[in-house]
Amino acid sequence: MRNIFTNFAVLASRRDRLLSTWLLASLILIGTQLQAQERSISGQITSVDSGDPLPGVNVVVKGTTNGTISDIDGNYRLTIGEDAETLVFSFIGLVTKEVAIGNQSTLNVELTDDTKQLSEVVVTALGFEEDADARGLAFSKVEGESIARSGENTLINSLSGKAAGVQIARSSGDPGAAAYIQIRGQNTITGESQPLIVVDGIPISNTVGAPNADIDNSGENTAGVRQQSRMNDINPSDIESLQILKGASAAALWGSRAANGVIVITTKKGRDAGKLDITFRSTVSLDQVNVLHPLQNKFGQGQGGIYSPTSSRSFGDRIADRPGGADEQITDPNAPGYGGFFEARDGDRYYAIPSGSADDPNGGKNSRETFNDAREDQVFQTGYFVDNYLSMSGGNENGNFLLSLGHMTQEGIYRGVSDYDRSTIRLNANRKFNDIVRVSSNATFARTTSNRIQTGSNLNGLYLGMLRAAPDFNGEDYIGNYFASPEAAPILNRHRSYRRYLANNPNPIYNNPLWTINELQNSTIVNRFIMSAEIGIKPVNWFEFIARGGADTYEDQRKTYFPVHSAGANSGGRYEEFIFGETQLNFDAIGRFSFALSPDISSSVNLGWNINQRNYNRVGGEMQNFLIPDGPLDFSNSVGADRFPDDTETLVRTTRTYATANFGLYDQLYVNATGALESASSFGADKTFFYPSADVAWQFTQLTGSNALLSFGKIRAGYGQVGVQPDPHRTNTDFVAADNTLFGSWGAILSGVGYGNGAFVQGEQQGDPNLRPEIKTEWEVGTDLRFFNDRLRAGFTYYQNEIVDLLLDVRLPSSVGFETSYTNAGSMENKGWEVDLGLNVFSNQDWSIDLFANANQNINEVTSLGGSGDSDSDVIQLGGFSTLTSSVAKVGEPLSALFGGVYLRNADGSLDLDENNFPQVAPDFGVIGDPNPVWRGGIGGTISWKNLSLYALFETFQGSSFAPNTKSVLYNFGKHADTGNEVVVPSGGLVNYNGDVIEGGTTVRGNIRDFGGGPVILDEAWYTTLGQGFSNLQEQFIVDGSWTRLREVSLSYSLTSEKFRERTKLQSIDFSLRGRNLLLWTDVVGIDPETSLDGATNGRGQDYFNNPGTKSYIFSIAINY
Amino acid sequence: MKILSKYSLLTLLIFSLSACEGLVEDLNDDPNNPADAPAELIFTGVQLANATTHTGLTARMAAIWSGQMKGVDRQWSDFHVYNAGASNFTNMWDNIYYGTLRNSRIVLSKVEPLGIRVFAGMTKVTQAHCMGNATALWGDIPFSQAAQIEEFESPLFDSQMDIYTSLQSLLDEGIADLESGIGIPASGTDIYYNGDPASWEAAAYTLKARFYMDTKQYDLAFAAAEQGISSFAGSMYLSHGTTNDVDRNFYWDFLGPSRGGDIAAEDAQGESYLVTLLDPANDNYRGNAKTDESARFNFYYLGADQAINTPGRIEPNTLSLSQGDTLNAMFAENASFPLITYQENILTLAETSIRAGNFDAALGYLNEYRAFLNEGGYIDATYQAAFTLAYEPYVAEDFAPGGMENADGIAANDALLREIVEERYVTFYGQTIAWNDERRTRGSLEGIPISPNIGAELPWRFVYSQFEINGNPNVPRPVPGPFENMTIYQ
Repeated sequence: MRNIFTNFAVLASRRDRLLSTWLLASLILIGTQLQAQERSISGQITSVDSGDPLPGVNVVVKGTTNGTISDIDGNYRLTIGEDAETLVFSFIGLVTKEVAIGNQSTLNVELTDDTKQLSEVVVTALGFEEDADARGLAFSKVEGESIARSGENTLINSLSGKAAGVQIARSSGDPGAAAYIQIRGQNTITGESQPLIVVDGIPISNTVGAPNADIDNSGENTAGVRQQSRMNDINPSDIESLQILKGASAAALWGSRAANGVIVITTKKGRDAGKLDITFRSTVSLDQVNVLHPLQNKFGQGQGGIYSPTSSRSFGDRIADRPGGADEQITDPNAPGYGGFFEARDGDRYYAIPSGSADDPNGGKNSRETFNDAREDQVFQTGYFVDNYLSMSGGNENGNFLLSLGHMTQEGIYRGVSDYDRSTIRLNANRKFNDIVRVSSNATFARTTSNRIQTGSNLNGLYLGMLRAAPDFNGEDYIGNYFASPEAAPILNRHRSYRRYLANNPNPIYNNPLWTINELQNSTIVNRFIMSAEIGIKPVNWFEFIARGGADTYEDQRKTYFPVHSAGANSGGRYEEFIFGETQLNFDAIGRFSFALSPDISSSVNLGWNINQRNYNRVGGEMQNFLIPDGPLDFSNSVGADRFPDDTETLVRTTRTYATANFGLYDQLYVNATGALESASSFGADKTFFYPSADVAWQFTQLTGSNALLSFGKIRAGYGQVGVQPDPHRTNTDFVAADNTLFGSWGAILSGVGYGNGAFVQGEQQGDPNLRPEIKTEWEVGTDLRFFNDRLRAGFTYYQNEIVDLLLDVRLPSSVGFETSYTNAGSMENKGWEVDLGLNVFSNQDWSIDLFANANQNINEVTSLGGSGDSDSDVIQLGGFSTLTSSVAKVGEPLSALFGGVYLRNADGSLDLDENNFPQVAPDFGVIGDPNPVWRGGIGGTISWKNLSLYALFETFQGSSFAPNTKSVLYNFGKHADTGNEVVVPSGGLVNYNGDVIEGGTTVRGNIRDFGGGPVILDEAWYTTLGQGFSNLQEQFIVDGSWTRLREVSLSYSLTSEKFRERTKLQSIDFSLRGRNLLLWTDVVGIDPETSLDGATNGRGQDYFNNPGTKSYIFSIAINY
Repeated sequence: MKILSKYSLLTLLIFSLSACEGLVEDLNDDPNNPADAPAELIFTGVQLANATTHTGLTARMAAIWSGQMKGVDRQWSDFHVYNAGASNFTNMWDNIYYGTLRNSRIVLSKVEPLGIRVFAGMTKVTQAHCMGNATALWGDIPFSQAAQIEEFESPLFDSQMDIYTSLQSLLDEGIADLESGIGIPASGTDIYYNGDPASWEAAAYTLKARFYMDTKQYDLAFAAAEQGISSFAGSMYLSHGTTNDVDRNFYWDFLGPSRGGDIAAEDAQGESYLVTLLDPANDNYRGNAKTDESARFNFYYLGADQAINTPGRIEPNTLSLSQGDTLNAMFAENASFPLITYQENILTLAETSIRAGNFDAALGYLNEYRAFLNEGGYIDATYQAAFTLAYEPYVAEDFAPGGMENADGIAANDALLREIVEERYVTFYGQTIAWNDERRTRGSLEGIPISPNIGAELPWRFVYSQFEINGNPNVPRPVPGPFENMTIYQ
């Protein structure tokens, strides 16, 4: 015991006062033991049906207030008087049992289920199991089996559609890409937006990029590659169950880290099976692109109907009107227009092709071949992953262990450098030394390696160069040597793109997609350890002391390589290497009291203290302009001026003391209350905040009695407060180096690195010495009902929350002298309902049919954004492009609203058209859409016949807006299918945007549209100015982003017959065949609307050359010994 | 007894529940950034911020709207037809108010109380340089209350005339500080003149003259310009280098690596007006028996057959020795960018002289400038060598009705004024002051006869930053669009 306290003292460090309190407490504990003169009785309580131990069972000496509650292993221990005769064992959902004591000192009891279905066990924020029926909250629990069945190789994605009020949105189909989790609406605007993940009682990092919004280069922005979520380091196969604590009252113990909900994960443990359990599972998945953008292939590269081989646009000549055959090439060095030649690696030579002219629209371009389809074939393939998992476990009454090994290797849907590998080792061990002391520990090591593809608003992004490429450009030969003349020495490894078809310039402007997937490198290697240990000491039957500590540490080494001749500023070569390191240390000391206040009032009280520390480090740098073009990826390969070292670190320490109290009255009314007092280093002047919560549940069927229709009924209510921590190190206004991010305009930058003695200026963000956590206050009411002998289960919850003191980088009018102010300003509200249904339609020996459904609606409104001026018009950009469409926070609008240029309108709301009947753009921007769904839902079911079962899950997302900026920008390039139409102008003629009259009867390339002033012709004049995605008039492009999809479907068969078992000595072999995302219904054209330009952030509802989504076919086999 | 110990333990634990603030204190100072910086380093930062507001988006937009360049792709084809919304100007507005004004106020608060006057003077001139450009482009803007968040959370919009008046007195204060000769900052602080008070003073006078030109107070402009920059070497140029993200020429970076192909000098509608003036092959060519613009034309523009970023279209010239080209153009990778120049000053003397009716003096200044050009002027040596140039002195007869520069037979004074205004327009290639001149002289006999890129109207101004509109209730409503005229041009 002394050792334990010593250890604790070391961990707690520096707090003598606290230590002495605990020492005092321990003395009292010992004293209590010495005073106990009466006899004691102990035993284990197990379930008749499953044989599993039953925790939380009330044990009371009949006719007294003397009682206890069984522990997690079903054990109880009670000191009783000499005259005690009978023990009463009760637990909700179980038949209460009275047992005579007699002379026994050990009394093991088996309890039977009260109803057919055992009531659900839920895991609380502290990691303790409790009876769901005794809590006043809505819980969403996902069993490990269901996670495994999803066929997803990352944990987050496997949760899609499974729980009401939980929205999972992947950012792209790239292997391992992060996904966005949103529980009951958005709970913060610029703070940490993702839920806290707690594994076996220890919080772990779920960082995407960098952990704080104030750190540049976090990886989730409109360009770059889609990074991983660190939550995906957890092997989904290791999960026993996953509990989503949605409401504030469920999560309040985690204080300022819980506003986005808490996901409590319980990992698998060994069991007392009298043998070694071995499971081996192997899964193979085939992945394909699910939606592609429609492109035109009727018109060639060029402008004004004239072919030009270097034009950015495809408004050139009509391909069908070309003579056909080989293109004319200028091979004679003395001929006008000679441009040297490009020699591809396979020896193919390319010479200049004469441009067209008004009289000869196709010029030298004779071929009628088009290459849109070929490009898709060159870029996309059927990707796959293979996931193998082996676990060994065993145990006896004193302990158990589980060892698991997992390895997953994935090849992306691109025929290039796109992959994701994850290896995990996990050991879980539990040991009970005696009735007093138990220990358990978990150790996990995960290594993930991955290579990704550049995406988004990025000259080196895959789709940007691929989709803009002219339909008549054959980009197959993308790398080779350029010769300025027959005598000239070659320039090696030039990059051939559609705007630089001879590769006669170091800058290809946009990458050839084959260069992007084959020549660029974006690797990451992550090594991660998650360790935890827990010791429980139960000196008396009514008190247990638990000390629980853990560490989560990882290092993510990211390298980004743009070889020489990559597009834009990277044409001299660019290399970045960073090591991101994050370490989280966590320690809890918890005292658990459980006793009965009277025979009718049971109670349990937990008191705890927590300290948590998170360190983040990022060290690395960039270099550009390689000295040796194909030199090693090392910073020595550039001159000093072209090297940019970079380092950042942050530290946050939090301490909390907390208490929970649960009371059960007459086995039907349950009252639970918690409180947490928290201090964090990132807070300003006031350092300590209190987070209360309470919930109450009344099982009214205990009073009314159940009947054939209603077998169980509960009404419940909860209230709680949680928060969001400020970013660290933001209480001061800093001075910052005027370096390569501060002063520039559209790409070009002036940096103090290159001028004078260097430059430092006051930062553009104003700090705030009084930072406080954001506080979310939520209440919820609901009911859980079971009908027809529990065959139909229904849960309904209504909640409402208000978040105040939002931490915002308030966008200031810069005339005040700052661009932003980081402060507590503004407020936001969410209200919504959630419904969960489960129905056992039919079941007998062979057949069973189960259906389930969940749905929810969340209505969010930003009610204030602080701000210095007219706060009604404040806007905070969350994602997208401030000059085009962005996703913003705006007062009076739901968070993430789409914001951009709107039509100039008349007083009556009609469009204010120009003299040619075309719309005009208003001078300032407005809200143009809401990317949040009006409601979302999931519906599915399982049909089983003997050992064969079929499962399906549909998910829907209704009433959201979507900004399809890939499509609208492809208008500018004349590349989208919409711009390839040809129409015959009706008699009388029509005008185009330039005001030119096009006579009736002419066939023109374009579309006819009526903006309200009569039909006009939309042709190149429109699609290259106001009618294109780069224009300010973004309102014209917004579409309905609703979707419905067949998220999962699976057919599985389990071989478990007696004969089979005898012959093979195996328990079972399970086979399954699954599909993910196989069907998609949506009005969005060209991309799966479940995509995110800004990755896993609150910037929602936008596509801008995002890499595509996927659908998968999966086969798996599991062998259980 | 048992109950007692149970509750005593509980009570004890509850009393021990303090939040342990001591464990989390003093951990929040930023380990990555300092809490203060010396005035010298801040000043260099102010200079960089200010420079972007003259050479960034403002300059490109002005060049397109004044007929020197054309937006031909992506956003810029839409800006070309004057569809530039409020959000497009946010970045420039930030660099003006946060980067330049706020930080220059910090410099002043650090140096003025210590009597470091030359440094203070340089800072005031830089402030005026920035704010004068801003008011010329946006009209009424916040100034007197701007960049002082501690006192003004919603700065008022000062009237444009008041701002010009304030800037003149700010420059006068700056000049007085510079003349004190006391408090020259450490070497390396000032990236233009390395702290030389005399150079700054001359630049301050040229700026005063510029602002008087804007407000059409030509006599005051003349008086100021007389004390302005008197030699090419005394010009304020922003130097550029060849390191990406550090010091490359903004036009070069934009026209090539960043936004290749977005801006040209020719589109389906034809060539930019400035191209027509300079291209010897064009009917509108301004050259004559005494003037050969070949070198300057090629220094400015790359022909359609050689164009790099917009193949097949004449484009602003980005050829760079540093990139392996044999010529170094106006917008070469490391070409210095003009901010306040000798060229501007002497042409101001010329214009104000003729406006005062002093033909001979005006012609003298013009010829002095032509003599400078005839020696190569600001044209890169590689272009002087590779192409012909000639700027022989004009004589009075050239401007007499029927003379070389007066084919349409207007009054001689008007003809000379027209030539001077046109020379300014040609000289100020790529700078916002070319658009200032175009707007100032729009519709007059001497005005630059450009026609709108679309519709029938030419724009007068830029639109306020979207965030200013959102966050500052003092923004004039309705928000003026590009076609709304501003005070000084009415």
